[in-house]
Amino acid sequence: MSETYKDAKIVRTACPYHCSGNSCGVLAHVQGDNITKLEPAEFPDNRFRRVCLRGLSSLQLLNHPDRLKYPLKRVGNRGEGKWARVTWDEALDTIADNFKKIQEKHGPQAIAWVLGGPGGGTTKFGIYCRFAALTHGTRVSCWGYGDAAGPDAMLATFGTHFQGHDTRDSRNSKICILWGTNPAVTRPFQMRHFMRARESTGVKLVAIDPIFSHSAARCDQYIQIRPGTDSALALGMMQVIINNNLHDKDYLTKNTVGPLLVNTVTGQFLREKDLVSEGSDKYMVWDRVNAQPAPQDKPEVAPVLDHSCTLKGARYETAFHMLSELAAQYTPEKTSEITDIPSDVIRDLAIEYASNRPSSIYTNMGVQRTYHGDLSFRTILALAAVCGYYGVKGGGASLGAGPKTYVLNWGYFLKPEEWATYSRLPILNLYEALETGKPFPVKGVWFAFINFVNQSPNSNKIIKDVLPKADFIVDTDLFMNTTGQYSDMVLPVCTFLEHSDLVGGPFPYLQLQQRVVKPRYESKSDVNIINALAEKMGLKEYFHKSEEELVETFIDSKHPSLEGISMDNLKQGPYASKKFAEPFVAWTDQKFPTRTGRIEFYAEKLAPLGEALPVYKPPKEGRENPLVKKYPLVFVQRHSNFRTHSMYANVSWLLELNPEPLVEMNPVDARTRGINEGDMVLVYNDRGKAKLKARLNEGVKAGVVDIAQGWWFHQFGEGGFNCLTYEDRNPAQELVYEANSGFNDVLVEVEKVG
Amino acid sequence: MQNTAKRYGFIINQEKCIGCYTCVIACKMEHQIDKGSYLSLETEGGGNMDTPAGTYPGLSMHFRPHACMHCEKPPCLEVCPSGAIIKREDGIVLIEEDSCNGCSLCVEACPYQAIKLGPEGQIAKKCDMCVNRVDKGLEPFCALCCEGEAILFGNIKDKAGAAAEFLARNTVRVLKEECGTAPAVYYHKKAVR
Repeated sequence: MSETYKDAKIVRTACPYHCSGNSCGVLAHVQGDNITKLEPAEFPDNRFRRVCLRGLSSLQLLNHPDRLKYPLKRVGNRGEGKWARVTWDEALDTIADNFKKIQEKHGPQAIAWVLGGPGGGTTKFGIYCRFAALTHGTRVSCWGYGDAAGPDAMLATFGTHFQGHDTRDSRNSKICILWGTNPAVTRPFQMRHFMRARESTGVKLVAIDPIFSHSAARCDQYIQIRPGTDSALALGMMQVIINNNLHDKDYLTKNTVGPLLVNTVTGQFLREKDLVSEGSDKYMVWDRVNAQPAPQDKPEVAPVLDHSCTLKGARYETAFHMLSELAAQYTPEKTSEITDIPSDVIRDLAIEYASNRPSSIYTNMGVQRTYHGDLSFRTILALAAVCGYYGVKGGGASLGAGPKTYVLNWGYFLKPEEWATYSRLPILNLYEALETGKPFPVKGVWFAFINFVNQSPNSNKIIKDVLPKADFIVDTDLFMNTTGQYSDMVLPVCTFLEHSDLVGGPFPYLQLQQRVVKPRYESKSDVNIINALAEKMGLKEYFHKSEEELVETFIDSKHPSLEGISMDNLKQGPYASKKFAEPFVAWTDQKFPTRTGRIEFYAEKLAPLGEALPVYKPPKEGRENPLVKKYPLVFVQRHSNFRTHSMYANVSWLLELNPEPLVEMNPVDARTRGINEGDMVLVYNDRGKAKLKARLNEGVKAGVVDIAQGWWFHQFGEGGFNCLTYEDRNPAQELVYEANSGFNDVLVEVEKVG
Repeated sequence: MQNTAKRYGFIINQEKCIGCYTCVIACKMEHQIDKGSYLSLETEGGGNMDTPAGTYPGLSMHFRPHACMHCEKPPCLEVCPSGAIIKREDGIVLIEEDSCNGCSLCVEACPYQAIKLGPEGQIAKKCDMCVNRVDKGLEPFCALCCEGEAILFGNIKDKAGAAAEFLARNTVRVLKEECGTAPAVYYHKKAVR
């Protein structure tokens, strides 16, 4: 324990702001009620002792002159920008009255709690769930505004939303593919693990991305891909691997649905009862020994991986047979035509990935923000299965921050009483619920840790058609931003420096976010806002715990993963289970929580949609779409190094370095449009527009333009970046879990303006 | 001419610098600088910030944290008419603000453009190698916060130290070698592929 902890003027806390579960430890230097400095806090393993430019700039959030100081009630029309200051009592009374009226008229589920990105914060998220449950409200799940397709793919393939390898395990890989992810910007912790891995064991880092990112610049190989064609690349790699007999037949047979027989007409797995009456539900394989179908779980059976046959007049093929036939169509030449990657690069990558055992894939949300983003990741997951890379050190195809291992006491928050349940609505379904009352009417909305209008797709539609249908809208935020402007009541919240919470990450740690200074002005933490609202709505008995008491509740799960944790030792420093001293590897027991118990690269549930196999479907708005004649450029919205989504967009330290929105384009596309560096341009399509300056960047693939997401709309000359996107829902994703926003699957044109 | 057992310096490993600009902000935090920073981050790539050189597939992009070089032969010290610039035995070059009259000759003399006049009182300011931290046995704040672990700080003369070890095993360069200033900041970058 360092000298600094003995000094009462230094408080240890954690910055939770949404870097995919990688929260940094922070030491705050306090003088009186002011914070003079933030610095990185120590960890038992000091490679975790960092804090980024955004975390450091949090002092500027704390002291920002534009911070919301007190509750504001709308006077005038929504969007007019006229506000009156009210007391918290009046604000909460007004909200409670309006919510009660709505619930009486439309039912309790008509109040929607739209919980955006709490980052690493748990109690601030949990308290809303508890309130929604106890009032039978609707909890709006915000996976769908960019983060749902990956979990959809995971659920379809592995039976669980999140799982993967601890990035420290990358040192055990021969090759690490960073597929459509930019950790140098979005998860610097993780980038550090990759670079350390390369230094210690020589792992080769490969980046696949439509744009030569900051991560790609530090990798050993960069492969530029057409947006939304990742499934084709993965299938193309499978074709080469299977053709060269580099696939792991043993692994596929034992641990995947590869050997299971599938009815080629219905697309469903064969079950014993399909062959014999009184038969069981057991899945069937073709037994080589007895040359007949047999249940897959019989140990004496020798399943044939690649087989087809006719049984009772119906044609059956093994799932692997179907997968390899699918992959066979994606020759390097055909794959090259689709992805714009040279065929020899595809061939070499496939052979390297499969022969240098084990190799790993790390990905995150960027690659999945296309209309068929779930298919992109399902195919990548299948590719790793074809090589037998699950459950082994140095393997995996892992999403985001990786493993989910700590079991917290969520029961208190999600199911406070037997009778307490909330309805669930995915965020993209909120549009319809507000606009047309389907699947049920939503009339009251509370936005928490989300800049809904700015960060969700099709902002113009939200402003014109969706929000006007709500009777009462509450926004909670640090600032009056794009969403607050269209709300009826705006409530001031605190920064992480002004309240306590339990923060997950960086893996393998859990940290206490410990309040450093009192909440500024009249701002309140989400916990205290809800505690106060509960009193107004007759629920005081359920909402009496303080922030710290809620943290204690969370860690009181009595689960072995939290052995030894306590509030006292969390106050001293981060908690880590001794079990995770070694990098965590998922599924070393090869037991998967799917219906078959195997890796389901073939998902029979999706057969009616033609997506049982991880197929390639072209981008919704790409060159296959006739719309490309009018709008020839693909618009993607990467993450900025200078923001966390739309947070920090108004912080002067960061604006000094990054003063205004830019659309980054390849010089080839700029030249044909007479656009020079720094020219004002309009980026537009049928849905909307954004006016901003052009930046020429050779790293951007020709045919692609990029506007870093998160700039507030008033920072554009006109419009905004999400005026260009659509809210269409992919039915396959809905069938699995939740539809995702195809942010990176949009066609636009760009032209120079005066 | 220094002839001591200590010479503090930096090794910037450009193969690990991810271009996050955290060092620039960290410097502002440590020195309570509202506008600007003693440290800048330069892009070694295309003409614009955060863009690469070349065209695909021949793209490359590195980043270069850039501040006072704490030279062996500091031109700033040589031109300062008030003797406000000193070089410590451990190599750290400092501007003693009480003695500075804001004449800005040092600003012009520095080949690295590492010195600027501050906004109030027009005192010359630059990186001081976080001398207050170093004197307490701590590393400069930029090195502590660096997300890529790309800034290595240490006593270059200590043969057993990490800095000397790195120099022994890797090729490095200094900036504007032709100026003969003998900087204490070394940059490592592999040859562009």
